[in-house]
Amino acid sequence: MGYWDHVILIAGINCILALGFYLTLLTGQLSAAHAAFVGSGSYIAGALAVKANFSFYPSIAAAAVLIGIAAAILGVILQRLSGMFFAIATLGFGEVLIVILKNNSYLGGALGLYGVPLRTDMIHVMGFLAVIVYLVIRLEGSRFGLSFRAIRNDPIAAASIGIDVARTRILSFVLGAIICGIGGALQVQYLSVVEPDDLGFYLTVSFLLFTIVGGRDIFLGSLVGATVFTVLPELLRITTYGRLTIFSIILVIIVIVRPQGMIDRLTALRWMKKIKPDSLKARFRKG
Amino acid sequence: MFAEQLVNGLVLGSVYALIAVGFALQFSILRIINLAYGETMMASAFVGYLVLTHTGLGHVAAALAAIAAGAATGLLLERFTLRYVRGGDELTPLMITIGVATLLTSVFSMMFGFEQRAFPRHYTGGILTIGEIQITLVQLSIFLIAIVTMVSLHLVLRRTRFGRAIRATADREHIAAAFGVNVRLIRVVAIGLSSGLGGLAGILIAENFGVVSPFIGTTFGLKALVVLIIGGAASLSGAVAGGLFLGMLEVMSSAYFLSEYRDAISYSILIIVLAIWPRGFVPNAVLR
Repeated sequence: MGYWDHVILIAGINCILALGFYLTLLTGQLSAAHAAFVGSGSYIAGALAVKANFSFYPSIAAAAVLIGIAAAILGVILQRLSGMFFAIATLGFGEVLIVILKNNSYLGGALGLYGVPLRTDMIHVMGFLAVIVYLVIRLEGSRFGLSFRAIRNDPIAAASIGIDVARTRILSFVLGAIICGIGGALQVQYLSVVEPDDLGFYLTVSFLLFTIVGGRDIFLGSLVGATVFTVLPELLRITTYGRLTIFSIILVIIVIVRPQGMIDRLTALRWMKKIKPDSLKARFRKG
Repeated sequence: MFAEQLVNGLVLGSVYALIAVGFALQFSILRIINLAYGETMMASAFVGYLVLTHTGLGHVAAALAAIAAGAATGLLLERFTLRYVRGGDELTPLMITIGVATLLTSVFSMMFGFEQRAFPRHYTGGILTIGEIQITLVQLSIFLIAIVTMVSLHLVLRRTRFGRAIRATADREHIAAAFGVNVRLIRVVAIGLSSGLGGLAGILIAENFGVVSPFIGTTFGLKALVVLIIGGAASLSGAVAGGLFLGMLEVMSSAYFLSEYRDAISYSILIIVLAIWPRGFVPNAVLR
């Protein structure tokens, strides 16, 4: 497999992960636990494959189910938190898991879990991505999906029209976590290795790049963000010296030029011909 | 033994509190979570390091240089990036500070390499003995500097006209502006002042641990964020309480439990604290 095949496959996995994070962000929850769910998905699928000889699909299914249960429990514990308080508490969850994994010799300790069989290929990644994109589109168009957006825009107003805010938030947290768990399970069977630090803050930063800088209003933003921020560092490899410096300058410029994200909802809808340019003004007037 | 751990916890906690106070100031005036704050501290610590190793000047000059470097970093951050994204979503400035944090880390690791460097400490030899407690002079001066800085900040905010303007801006920016407060000036002062505090905290941490590296920023930036959130996001007393709480917790858990589980214990307690007090120790405060 060529170098660019590798980059595209990683971009595909990152798109899946970004969609998981996006789905939870849609209810206004900034979760640092999703990085931990990706890593845990990798650990679960990897450990089952190495220690219990699970084959490809059962290992992914097991990761999805276990991550879903873990996310539901965490979601219930943290249901009274919102905003940055939620973000920090979920960050704490990831940090606790990292310490536990580092001290667990059965799962490889600080060195991580090695030698996971390489079974993920391009077709698997693109297949899962296509299914997840389809499900996200269907969800966003449904009443249930619209209630996500309503909660993000104004939780009190959403509650007043009969949306169960706490339950919907927990569900969006769990759904996003399951997608991230599946992505992690795919990733470990491509890279063959997962380390405790993979659960940490750096992946959360990547998630923020993918979804916030990509565009937090529409799933396309996450897809574009994940692709751009996977491919851009690879393109910058030609400079070798000061790659990260150039990357961070480009990042700051993108954010200043497009503070609402690279793809915002209006642009995307116009592309998809859902809105004609002249009907835009009418929409704005209605608010 | 216990008394010594108590002293260690107080020293570490006062540094955390100092970082979190600066953070709280930025959070309440500029409405930003500044993830480049830890990197500001790192950059200032390196400036202090350069002053100590390349000039004949002492630790006081190094500390002053670090404060100036911190303030300059904050002012540049505000002038050239944050100013352009005011008034939008609060996640936008967050992303900018992530970019600037990466920029500072990469620039400093290109200049100073990836390894951590020993921070020259002349007076580590001095030890004060009170009863059975032993305190190094470094620890004592860190503690005193942090306390004096926080008390004077408190007095400025509570007792002066300018401090009242700052608190008014934190409370309701538009109304403060309507009463003739120069809100733009307050914003610039707030980020300069808080980043200067960050610079001071940066060099104090370097003195305390005796090392400086381009990668300490993320660790301490995150710790400060945790402290800020436990405290209640926008209150100075909450930040001090949160700082002392986390400092004590870390020192005590590594002294009396398994030290490799230190972070797990402190973060589990963080989750429990937030589950009980969902908006921190001092909720809905405005720079009090």
